[in-house]
Amino acid sequence: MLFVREMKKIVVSIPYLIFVAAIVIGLFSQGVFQFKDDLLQEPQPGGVSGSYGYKYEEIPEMVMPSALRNLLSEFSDNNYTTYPIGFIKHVKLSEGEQTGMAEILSEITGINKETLLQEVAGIDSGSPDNYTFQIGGDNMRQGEDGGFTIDSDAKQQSEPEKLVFAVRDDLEYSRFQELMKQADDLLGGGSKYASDSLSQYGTVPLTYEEAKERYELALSSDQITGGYARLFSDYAGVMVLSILPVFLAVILCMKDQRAKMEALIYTKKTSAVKLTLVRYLALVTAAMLPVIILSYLSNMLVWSTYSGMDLDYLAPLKYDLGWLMPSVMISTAIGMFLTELTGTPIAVAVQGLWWMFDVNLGIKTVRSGYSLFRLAPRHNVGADSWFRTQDYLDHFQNLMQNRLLMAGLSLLLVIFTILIYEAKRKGKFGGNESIKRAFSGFRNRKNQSQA
Amino acid sequence: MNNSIEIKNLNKFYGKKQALYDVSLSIHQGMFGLLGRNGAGKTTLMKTLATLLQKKDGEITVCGVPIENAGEIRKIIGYLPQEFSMYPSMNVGEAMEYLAILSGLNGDERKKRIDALLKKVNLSEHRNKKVKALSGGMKRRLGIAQALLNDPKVLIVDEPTAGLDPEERVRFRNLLSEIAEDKIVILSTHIVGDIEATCEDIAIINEGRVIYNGTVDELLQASEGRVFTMTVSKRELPQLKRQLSITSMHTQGNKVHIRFIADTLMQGAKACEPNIEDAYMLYLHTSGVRDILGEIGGEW
Amino acid sequence: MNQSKERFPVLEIAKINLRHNSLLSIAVAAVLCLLVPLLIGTSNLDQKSAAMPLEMFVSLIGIVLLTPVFQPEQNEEINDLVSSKYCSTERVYLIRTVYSVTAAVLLIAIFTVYMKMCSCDVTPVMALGTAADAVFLGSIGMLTSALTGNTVIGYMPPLLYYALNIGMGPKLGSFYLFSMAIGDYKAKIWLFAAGVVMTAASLLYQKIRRRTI
Repeated sequence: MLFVREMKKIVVSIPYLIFVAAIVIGLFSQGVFQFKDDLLQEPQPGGVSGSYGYKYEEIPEMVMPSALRNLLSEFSDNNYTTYPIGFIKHVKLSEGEQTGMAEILSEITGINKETLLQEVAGIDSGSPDNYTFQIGGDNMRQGEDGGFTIDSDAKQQSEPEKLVFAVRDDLEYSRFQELMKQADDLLGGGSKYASDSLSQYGTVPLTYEEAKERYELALSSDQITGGYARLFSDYAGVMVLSILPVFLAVILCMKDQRAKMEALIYTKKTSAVKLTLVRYLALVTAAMLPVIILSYLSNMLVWSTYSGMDLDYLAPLKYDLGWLMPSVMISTAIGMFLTELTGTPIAVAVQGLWWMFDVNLGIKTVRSGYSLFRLAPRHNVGADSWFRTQDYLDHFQNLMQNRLLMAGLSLLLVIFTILIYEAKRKGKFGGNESIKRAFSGFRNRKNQSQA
Repeated sequence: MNNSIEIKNLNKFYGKKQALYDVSLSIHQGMFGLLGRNGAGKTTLMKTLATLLQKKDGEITVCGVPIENAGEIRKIIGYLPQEFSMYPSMNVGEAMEYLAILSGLNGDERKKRIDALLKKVNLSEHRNKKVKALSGGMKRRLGIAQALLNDPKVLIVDEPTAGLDPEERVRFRNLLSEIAEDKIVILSTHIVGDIEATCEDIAIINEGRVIYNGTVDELLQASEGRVFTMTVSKRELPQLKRQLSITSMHTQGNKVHIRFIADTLMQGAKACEPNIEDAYMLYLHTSGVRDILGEIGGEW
Repeated sequence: MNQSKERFPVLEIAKINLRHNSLLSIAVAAVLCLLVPLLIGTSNLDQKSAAMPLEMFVSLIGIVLLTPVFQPEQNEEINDLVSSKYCSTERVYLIRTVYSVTAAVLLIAIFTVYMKMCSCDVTPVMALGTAADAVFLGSIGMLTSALTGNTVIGYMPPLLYYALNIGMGPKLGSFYLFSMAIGDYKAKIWLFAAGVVMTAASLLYQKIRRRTI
């Protein structure tokens, strides 16, 4: 049977060996076989504040001083850290922009902007060895009211001066939000002052009731195993499954060229539809097999610990197919499509770049990254926060959309691959012709079908 | 310095599989034909001569130079592989240039030599054409030109006419004959016509063994009296095909003229003058090969 | 014919190979370098932060440049053709390796100077450290490509090792690729040494393989 033959071609090969080794090593290094260290424990009443963990909440009284403190510190160094597309970026503002920032700070603190700018300028003009204007450093003290006092170094000034940086009492939170948005815009977006990031300035300890609720949710919604399967998927997706399948696909498709089999295959009776689909199926199956086995190995290790509880034994399989398979599908499809189109291993570079982007994006969004074009969705910070089930449920819609999009795109690419294959077979474009010619071949095809 | 290739008791293995058995040959100036079926060991022998493969044991000297001295050997040989292709982005001129550099030719010499050779093989006008865009015949001619870059004493060409149309094939044979005037040219082929047209000395290789080594005339003489013709009806053909070693057929209406090899004259048949095809078949046949007919039938 | 004269025109071979066999990978490496400032901040960084773009991104050009060193002759027909010529293919490999490493070092140097101009606290040692990463990653690719005879397979292990570094972090000890970001420069010596050994091993393997077939 064709499927078995293609499957054999993939599995009995060095790249597949590397593939399996990569999955095992990659996942082992992430500790997916040590989930026993991350056990879920029922919270007991009477713990001290903080013992149940923390959560972020946008509480104005907490957010405003913390955000101000951070902004002042960055302002004084004129070195702002932002994450415009996920990667860290250090922004240095021009003089005009710094003045703009000073205006914002001025409105928040009530200190006029010239004073603020002078303070910053003072660092530059003074001898750097003796005079350090530190906001957020040793000289900065948090007052009772949440404001900050900064002791300027006496050496530079005739008499010690005390500047108090605190949020004006009469500042409305809504106005503060607006100002923060302005600051974010000045920085080009993606800063910690963006509206959706402000909540990170407010950390609140969980109460026993909340902790209990989280625990119950992990039990009822995830049935425990689901949480571990999710962790596994998070690691497996980002480490290997969104990059390595492309190699299997490219190598399989290029094998034909290397062995000069193309001419032979083109004349064989098997239809392009069948051949491409069977190959695709074989590639996806081959890539998924070790994953399914490993996901169960990883998951089973915690089963005994929770014996007697209501576990979902199908959870690993559900996550393998629903979460991981679309990643495998898209990277396999890109591999097949670009290899058939160009006759070169360019797909490796394309997928490699996308993956690199995605992995590094993940550094910021490692807790929950489900945006529409994610190659490997992220959901981390393990069992110690009760799998963050609520977070997952809140984002489930997004995850679904992303996974369906990836699966859909894959199938579309497979269809394109079939069209190319069919065109090549009819001699419409040869294997080593340029892409340009290939596209003109496509155009001809289209014209013909219109005629 | 002698102008001959001496091969003594050459054995070659691919892993455990033996590809050449005790091959001994003496090859002199002029065209030398290596005849054999696909997979008989011709390419292995030629690659060994071109220092691309290592021999297991035995002795080879090329114009007095032992084959182990690969550097010296490469200076005096030119090799055209069975399939000729070049780095994809190179055009004809660039390919020649690079291969000339690899052949150790210096600047002035290189330019002159390339011009002369491209002219000789009629490719001067295609200098700027990409190698991969050349037709089969042009590619083969370029292949010969590059093999001659270092003005070799020995030219080794592997299956040069496979895949060429009849006109190109004739032209190519003539080119080779011309070159062979002052060189040793070793030509391998499974197409008997190539040998007939060009070679005097030949060797037939089968399953890694030399089963004939001598002149074409001697080969023909040895087959004298064992080749016959007969005219039969189409209906009889299938049965005769099973019984006889048919070397060629010619259909006329519902009659078929067949040529076949047999030890004795049979009823209705006429003895005839053997040609190389017949002789070759006879040799393969007597060396214990049974199933050749089906395979070569179409090719001749 | 002046064939008795031993000639090995290194520069001419390098020039033609650069143009016909390595232009694409050098272009890809350059584009990769150009992309880095778009992906990650490359200005006003202190030493440890400045190590990030260098180690995590620029070092990847080693994979792009070195892995395909053996690729052109992995086409058997081309291999048969050039191997029968006087100048040995192993030397051509060596030439390609040398200029690929040179290209990597040059690109890294240019990038480092660029970062310096963007007021990053970068040092020549950091450029060398990045080159060590590049050579190490590239040599893994070269070795795999040599052993399997397939350059595409050659790209897998170095990328995998890169992923492992993201996943495992400093646990990789002396072979941690991103060590400068945590202030450790010693690892680079190990990485460079291992890179040189693997490069040499892959070149040697090509020679032995050719000898024994």
